[in-house]
Amino acid sequence: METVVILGLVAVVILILGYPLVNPQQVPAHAIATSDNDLFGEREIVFETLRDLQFEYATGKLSAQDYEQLKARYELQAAQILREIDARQAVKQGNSPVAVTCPRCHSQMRAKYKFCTKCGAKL
Amino acid sequence: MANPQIAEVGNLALVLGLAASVYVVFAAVFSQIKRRNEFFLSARNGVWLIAGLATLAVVILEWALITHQFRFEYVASHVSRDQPLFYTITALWGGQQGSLLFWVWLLSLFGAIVLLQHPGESDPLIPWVIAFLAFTSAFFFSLLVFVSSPFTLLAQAPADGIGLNPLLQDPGMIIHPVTQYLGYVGFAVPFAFAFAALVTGKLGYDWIRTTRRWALFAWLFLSLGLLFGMRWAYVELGWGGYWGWDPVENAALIPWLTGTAYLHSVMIQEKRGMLKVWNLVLILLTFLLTILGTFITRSGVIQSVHAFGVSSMGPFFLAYIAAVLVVTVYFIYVRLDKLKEENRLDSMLSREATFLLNNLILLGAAVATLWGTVFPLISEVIVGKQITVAAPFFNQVNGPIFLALVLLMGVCTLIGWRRASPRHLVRNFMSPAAVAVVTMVVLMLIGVRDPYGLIALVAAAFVLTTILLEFYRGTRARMRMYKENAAIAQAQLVNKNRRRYGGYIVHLGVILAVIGIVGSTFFQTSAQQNLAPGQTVELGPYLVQFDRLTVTREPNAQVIGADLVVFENGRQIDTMRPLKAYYPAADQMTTEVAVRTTMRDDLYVILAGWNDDGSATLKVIINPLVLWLWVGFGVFILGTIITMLPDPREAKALERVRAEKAWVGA
Amino acid sequence: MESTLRRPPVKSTTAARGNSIKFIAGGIVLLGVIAFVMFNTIQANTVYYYTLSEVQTQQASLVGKTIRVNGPLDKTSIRNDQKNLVLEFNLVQDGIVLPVVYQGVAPDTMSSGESVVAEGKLDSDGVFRAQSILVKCPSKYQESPVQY
Repeated sequence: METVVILGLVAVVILILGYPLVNPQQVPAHAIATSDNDLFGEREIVFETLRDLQFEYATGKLSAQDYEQLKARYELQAAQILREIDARQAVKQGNSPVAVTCPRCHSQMRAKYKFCTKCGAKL
Repeated sequence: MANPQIAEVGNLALVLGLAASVYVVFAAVFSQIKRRNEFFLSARNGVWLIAGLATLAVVILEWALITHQFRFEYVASHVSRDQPLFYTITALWGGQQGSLLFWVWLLSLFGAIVLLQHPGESDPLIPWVIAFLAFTSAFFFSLLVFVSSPFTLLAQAPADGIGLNPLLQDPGMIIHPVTQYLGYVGFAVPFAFAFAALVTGKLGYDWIRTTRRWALFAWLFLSLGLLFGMRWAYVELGWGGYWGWDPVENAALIPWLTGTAYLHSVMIQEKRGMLKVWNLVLILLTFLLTILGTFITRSGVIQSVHAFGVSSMGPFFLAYIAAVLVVTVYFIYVRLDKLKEENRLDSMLSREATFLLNNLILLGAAVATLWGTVFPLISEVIVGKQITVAAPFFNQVNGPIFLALVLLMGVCTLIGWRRASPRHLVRNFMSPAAVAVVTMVVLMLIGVRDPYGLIALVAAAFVLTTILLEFYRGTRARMRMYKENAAIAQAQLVNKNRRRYGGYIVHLGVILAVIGIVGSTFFQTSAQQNLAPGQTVELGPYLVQFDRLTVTREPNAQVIGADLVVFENGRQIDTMRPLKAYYPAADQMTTEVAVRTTMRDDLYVILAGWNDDGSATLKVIINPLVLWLWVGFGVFILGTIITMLPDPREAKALERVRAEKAWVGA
Repeated sequence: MESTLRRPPVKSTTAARGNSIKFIAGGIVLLGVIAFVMFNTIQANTVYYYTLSEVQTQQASLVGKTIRVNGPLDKTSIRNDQKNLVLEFNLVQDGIVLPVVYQGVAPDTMSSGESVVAEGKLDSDGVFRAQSILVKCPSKYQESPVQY
């Protein structure tokens, strides 16, 4: 009796582990390699930073002068990151020239975009 | 099947679990190095398989426990026939082998949950996460297979088992190990992701974002573990306190300290892209300290009151810890160029700076506590003589450290991110400082003289004011910015900013707990007296009258109680009944204290002994403000849960990033 | 491509670098203070472990110092005065007898204890006055979780 159980258990283990190896049509494409430096992550950080600044100014923790200075600096950083994302996307898509206009902020960008690179609105 | 065969199946499940874990490590690594995705799929199946095999082993052991299979050594030494079913079921984690099995079972389930959270194959971190988790479960399986198996059989089944130590027969003591282990094992997941990020070099924000909730979850359960442990010591051990700087208590506290540091500093990486190496070091330390904690608790290596006897697991644990340490440090070194800081401190007067300071202080507390805990071991190795460090060491070192931490909690609330202007800071400081001064005057007027107690309470008042002020200012800012009324603004403030205000609520809980700790540490009073029936003992505002001794029989114990009547200011307010129980099966006494709790203080009565002439010896203790310790823990846990709730803004941002990534493939 | 696309450093770098140096210096000072307090305190709080034979041979030099003594408990010698809460017992090993007096509530595990770790001071009359005692029980997993 216990021999049956033991053999059964071992068989189940081998079957579960081995099945994907002998059934190659199940195998999907390899993991998509994402970029090492996470531009989108950086962009979210800068956005978050700007939101925080505004709130801290409103709760009286920043002087007006510091607020303006820091805000200008992080806005510059945000613009740089967005441009970088832009450039990378342009390379990926081989510079599709057709332009589209953002419904919210009316800036021009490539037609294949799903979101506005300036204001984040859905296109 | 008879017992030997079932034990064999149990052991087989452990051996197969070990084999599958080792296989998964190799399959997952191979799939990445050779780009063979079918091996990754096989490793994924392996994770499910490990969970299944660990579950099988747990089911077999539970079956043996519940049906009293006393041929199993584990059952015979942890269960007895007269033991309630609840304690029989929970005997699974009552002993060494069972609790190690419980550890690896939780780990295997967490691995399966990680797979459920990441169903697709597109995440490049997952193979390495799986590999690391499987490596860890291989380690625990090999302890069970090679060192101490829960399925060892006795030559003959004894008529009855020894049963669970009566001292551990308390619901709090049953929940405590579970929460502690959930916390310990929980930190394996964030570390596995950190490790995967290191190996793949994908050290962006993904691993931190995906593991934020895991880290909070683990930290929450470590906190709960501390709470239940302290609560059990308070009501069950009967010495009037809740914390004795025992090695096992320290083993739970140290990873909590480094985990707290990690939760803070990781925010800086998320917000500013700074402290990347530091965060990796902190999560590595926290994880290794949870392993060390498991080892200290389960091996009894350090002379301790909770430990489970000496066993031969030391070399295994040391080897595992050394392996993880060396490999991780090597990868941190290799990846240093990818771990460059993206930003620098804008100003020394900023919340970032206070977070860094908080990190250093927490780490200092962790190092001091660890040092004191392992000092007997170190001295034995170096001097050849065990030198222990007495409890005053921990109080004298950690007291000032924790006071600094509390003050910092207040300062950090007043300072904004990035840069604070000194002028605003001074203005923000004014009202909390005023409240602190008023508190000090009031406390001195009502007769508080102890300098340390006074300083600590004044600091608590200061911090409490800064936190309440923060809520007030935030609400007002919202009312201005969004034209909301006060109630809605207040609710929305927390709701829209769950992480920030959840964090403040956690701080609020800490301050309440500090008030409770300070009250019961510095202002405790006690009296000890032998009383004949009718005699009284007076302490503070209370007068305790002893009426008679009572003897009752319970299924597995004989219980002696002292009937007491409590008077306050000449008026009868309550009756109390402290107990001693004798368990014949274990030949052991346990003490059951009687506690009467009010917001002002706890009246805590221990029946220390009794005599043939019907008199009883009582120890009466007044623990001021101790209720606020438990209330503080409640608030603390509420705050932690709020920070764990899904943040709508964060979810939106994550979704946007994911959609764009899928679109661009960048 | 990476290098050309890296954004230029944020301008106040030198000031910021000054800050991080300040911070590192501050951190080192802080850790130094903690380490200093730690070592200072540890000196005052270390308690040496002694066996019974060591206590006997070094008796003269140990009087008045706080030490820990570990030894087997002679159960027949336990006298527990419950009215005054005085607990007396002997630790016995290889013919050496050390009488211990402890003022306080006797641990619940005393009667089933196998050995005792006592922390306290040795009197000149050879009696060990314990400030705390820890009873160790025979069973592997039942090590007494009671500390007084």
